[in-house]
Amino acid sequence: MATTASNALLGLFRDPDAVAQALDALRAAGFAGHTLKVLSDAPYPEGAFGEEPERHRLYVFPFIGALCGFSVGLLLTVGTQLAYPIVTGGKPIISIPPMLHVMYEGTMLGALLFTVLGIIFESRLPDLGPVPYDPRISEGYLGVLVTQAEGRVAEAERALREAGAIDIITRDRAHAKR
Amino acid sequence: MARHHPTAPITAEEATHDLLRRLGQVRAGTGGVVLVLAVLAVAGLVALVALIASGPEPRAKWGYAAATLGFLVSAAQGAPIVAFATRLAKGFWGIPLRRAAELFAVSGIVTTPLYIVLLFQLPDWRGRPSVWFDWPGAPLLWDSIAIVMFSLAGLALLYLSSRPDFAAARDAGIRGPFQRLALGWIGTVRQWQVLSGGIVVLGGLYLMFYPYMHMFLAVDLGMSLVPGWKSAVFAPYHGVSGLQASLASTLLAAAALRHFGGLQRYIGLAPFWGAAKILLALSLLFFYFTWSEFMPTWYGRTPEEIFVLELLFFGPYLWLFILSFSLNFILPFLLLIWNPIRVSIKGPTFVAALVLIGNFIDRLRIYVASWSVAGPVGQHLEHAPPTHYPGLPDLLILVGGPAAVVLLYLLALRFIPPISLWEFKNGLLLTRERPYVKTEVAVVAKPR
Amino acid sequence: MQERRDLPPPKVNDDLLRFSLRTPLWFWFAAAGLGLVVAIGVYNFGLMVTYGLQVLGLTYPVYWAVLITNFVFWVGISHAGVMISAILRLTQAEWRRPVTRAAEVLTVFALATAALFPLIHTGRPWRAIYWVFPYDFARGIWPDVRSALIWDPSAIFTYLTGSSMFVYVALLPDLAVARDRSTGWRRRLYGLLALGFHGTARQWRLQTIAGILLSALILPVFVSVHSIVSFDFAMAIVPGWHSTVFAPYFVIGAVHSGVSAVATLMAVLRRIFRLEDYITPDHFDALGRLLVVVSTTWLFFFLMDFYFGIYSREPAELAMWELRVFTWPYNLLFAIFLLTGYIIPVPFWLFRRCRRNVAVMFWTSLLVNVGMWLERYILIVPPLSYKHMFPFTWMTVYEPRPAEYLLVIASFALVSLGILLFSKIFPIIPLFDIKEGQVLKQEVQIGRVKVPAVIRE
Repeated sequence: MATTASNALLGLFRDPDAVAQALDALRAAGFAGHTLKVLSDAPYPEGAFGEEPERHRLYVFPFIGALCGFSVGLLLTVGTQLAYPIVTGGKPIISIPPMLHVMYEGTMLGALLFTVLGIIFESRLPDLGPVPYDPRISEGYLGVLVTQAEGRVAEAERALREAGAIDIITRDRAHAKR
Repeated sequence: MARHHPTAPITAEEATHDLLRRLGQVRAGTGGVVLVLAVLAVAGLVALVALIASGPEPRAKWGYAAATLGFLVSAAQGAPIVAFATRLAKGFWGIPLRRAAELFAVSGIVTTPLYIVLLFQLPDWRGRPSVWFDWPGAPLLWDSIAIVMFSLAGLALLYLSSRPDFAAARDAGIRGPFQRLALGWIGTVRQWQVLSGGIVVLGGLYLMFYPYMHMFLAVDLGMSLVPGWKSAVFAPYHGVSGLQASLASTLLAAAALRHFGGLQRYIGLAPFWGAAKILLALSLLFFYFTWSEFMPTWYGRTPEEIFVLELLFFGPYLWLFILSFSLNFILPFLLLIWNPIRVSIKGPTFVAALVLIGNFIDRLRIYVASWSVAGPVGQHLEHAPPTHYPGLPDLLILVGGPAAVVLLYLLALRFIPPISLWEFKNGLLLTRERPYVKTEVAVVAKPR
Repeated sequence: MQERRDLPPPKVNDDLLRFSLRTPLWFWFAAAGLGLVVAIGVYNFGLMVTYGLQVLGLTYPVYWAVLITNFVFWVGISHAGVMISAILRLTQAEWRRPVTRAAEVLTVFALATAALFPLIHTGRPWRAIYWVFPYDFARGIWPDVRSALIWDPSAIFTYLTGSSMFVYVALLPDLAVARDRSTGWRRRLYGLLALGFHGTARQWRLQTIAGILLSALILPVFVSVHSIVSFDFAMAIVPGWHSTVFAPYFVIGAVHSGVSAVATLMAVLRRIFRLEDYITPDHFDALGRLLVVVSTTWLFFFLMDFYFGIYSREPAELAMWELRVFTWPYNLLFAIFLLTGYIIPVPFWLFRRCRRNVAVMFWTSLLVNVGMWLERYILIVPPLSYKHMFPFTWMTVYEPRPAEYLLVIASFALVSLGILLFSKIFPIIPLFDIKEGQVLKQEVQIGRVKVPAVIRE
């Protein structure tokens, strides 16, 4: 189910231990692990809050990009040499050593481009929709985002407050702030 | 994620007791290995003496002896730099590898006399393109001084870094010459400061001298013998491929110590994983230096350059070049880019074996080819002579040289602990596992 | 890192976003001044296009001189970014944190400036389009891939694109902070650029992987770029150029000048943005130690080039080196380059007191780049101007004209202006990197001493 503002809420915390407690409480209350997200202004050690490990397929992108770039480089170099078969410097018409430079750069360019696309895609960006968020996250606060709380908002809110949340943000408040 | 200390927790006292009790002991099965190595080493020595007795001509017959020397200097005498580099970078993952690397300094006992013997077999030097420019005594005197100094420096580094462990053996009452070797070490603050400073200075000098040592070897026993061969990148290429082979030797030694020496608690995943990344980088550098040599030579197309390409790359030693390129670059690259292979013990060990064989083949290619055309100054050759295949003396030297180094390595292990005990204990002091909220993290201290 | 300060996130945000969100008066003067110098450079270029290459000092056989020296120099400076950012990221060096973005931005602007010079050098840059973009429309012939000059655009374009994307990806978290701290059109702009980055665990995980993966991908590109630039010279059978060591020699020279440029830049940024809490003497100490290793390696490759240049005792090579080392005015430039590139700065860097002194690091790193510019000049001009076989090619000493000097000065102004404008809009020190350093900060008690430590993942 997609995250929409109406079924999501964000709890704001000061302390990493409180965040871990909140996640435990929410899971105990029946919320699925993959619907809970921790927001922070800096990366924390993996698994620090007991969150579910994130799976991704980023490593596929550089390989596909490299393959595409290699093909373009090969086409360009072989194609241009065959199109105008001029002997220069005694070198063969299809001169492989010089071709390798352009093919290599094409391969790396393809790998880089696709890797960046992959990073943006796997980060689930762009994410410009209305999701509960608070600028205090950027000031060092930690957030626990419950993405699918439809019909159970009160339950989620109770679990967050009991864990020590200093504020709860829902869609309406998030919009009001903007 | 790999941690920066042994796989199973171990205390400093346990490590001290465990590592020191191995000194002076002969593990079951090693007696047979030592005997075989000794026989091979002696056979190699006999073959070398026979070669000397038969005179310097034809020069081509010295190619395999020169290749053995090139291989040993590359794969063994560069290993102390592996130890020094991890110390300089304060990489705790490298602690289990340092002693295994430094022990290869004993190879200087084999390479020094072999180098000097080969210097006497060189053809006329006056007027020859050389790094010495007809300097008096060159190359015999200066190359001899260089290899002697280089070997002594390596042995000095080995001794210096082992001294605290000799003292520990002395204090534990282990039988052996440890009282004399410790030279009064009692572990005062000043002694530690002098030791640390000395290792840095000596290691730094060893590192700085290393590329020049490779230049003398590669150019005087290789490039200068080939008419028309002038390549500024060849000496750095020889040095970098030497470092690659040295790291491979260190990894193989560490794997052997772990498996046959029962050192699994000391040599875990982290050293292999850390070294695998560097091995990948060095394999890429191997390609880079090969390409730097090849590209201007191929592009220039002067008669001399065409001759060099034929002799060293595409002519009688084509298969050696293909094998060397595959084992030093293609296979290591294709294997080590995969996480499951890189983050393991068997993966980097297997790749290290490939690299070591590749380096051996590469030295065969360079030196056998060079000595096959070694002749008077100013000679001009149209085409490369046919492949010079090894005879029985060549095979005995090729096997005997490395056997002698391994023999000396095993003998040294009777007196020097295979893991640097004082650095291992230092690593235990500076690394911790701590809980962090709901996970456990490795904490690494970085003192000044 | 011994000088670790406690830097809570609000302070980090205040300090590092101050310049982006508020505009001090001096910015306008600096931008105007640099802009004026750039404008003079553009005017100068206009004169070149109008009157032709005769306004330069170039003449047969010296067809490559100051402009190509500048091209190679700026490509060299651009190697700073990957060296500092990528290699230190891969080795998990903690001291990289405040330095990475400045180095990456220096890379982007240096490389973009460098790419202008071959185009300027053509005199009629619109005709170079066929050479830069491989289309068969200008003369009915495709660019010849066998030429080293065709490998250059492919390498530079790849490196420039890769570096720019590297900067952008690493900028995403900081754009989110800037969005949260701003209002009005700034908020909308940062919000759009941040792509909705909210700092979820997934997004941070991918940021970490992105840093490592992009570093690993861009490292081989970084090595290839200056190698390919060196091949512009090494492929030619010109005494003094046709050397197999040019590729690694150029690359290590680029790293030398690039890292020195980063040291210069860090000293300037620390001063003008009052970043004493973030750029500490520890960072200059680490840069200095790196520079000792890099510069000594560079010296080794220089000696290889020199040694093996005269190794074969070919008359042409000997004559060329004699011109470089003993003949006026190149002998003076050669001496200055050796002194400023190695002999003066390195002894300073051997001492911890000097390495930790920001002023010493600033002046020595500046000296290095004076030397490295001269090194490129000595590499390029003497091999072209020495007395070749035929007397009709002999010429008096090549003398650069004012037009060339102006273009060189304008290039420095262009790079400085680019970095100034970038740091006006985006934070020049990565906020999240500093904050991550604070998260990973630990201490280990050994006896009575608390030793600084760091969490390693």
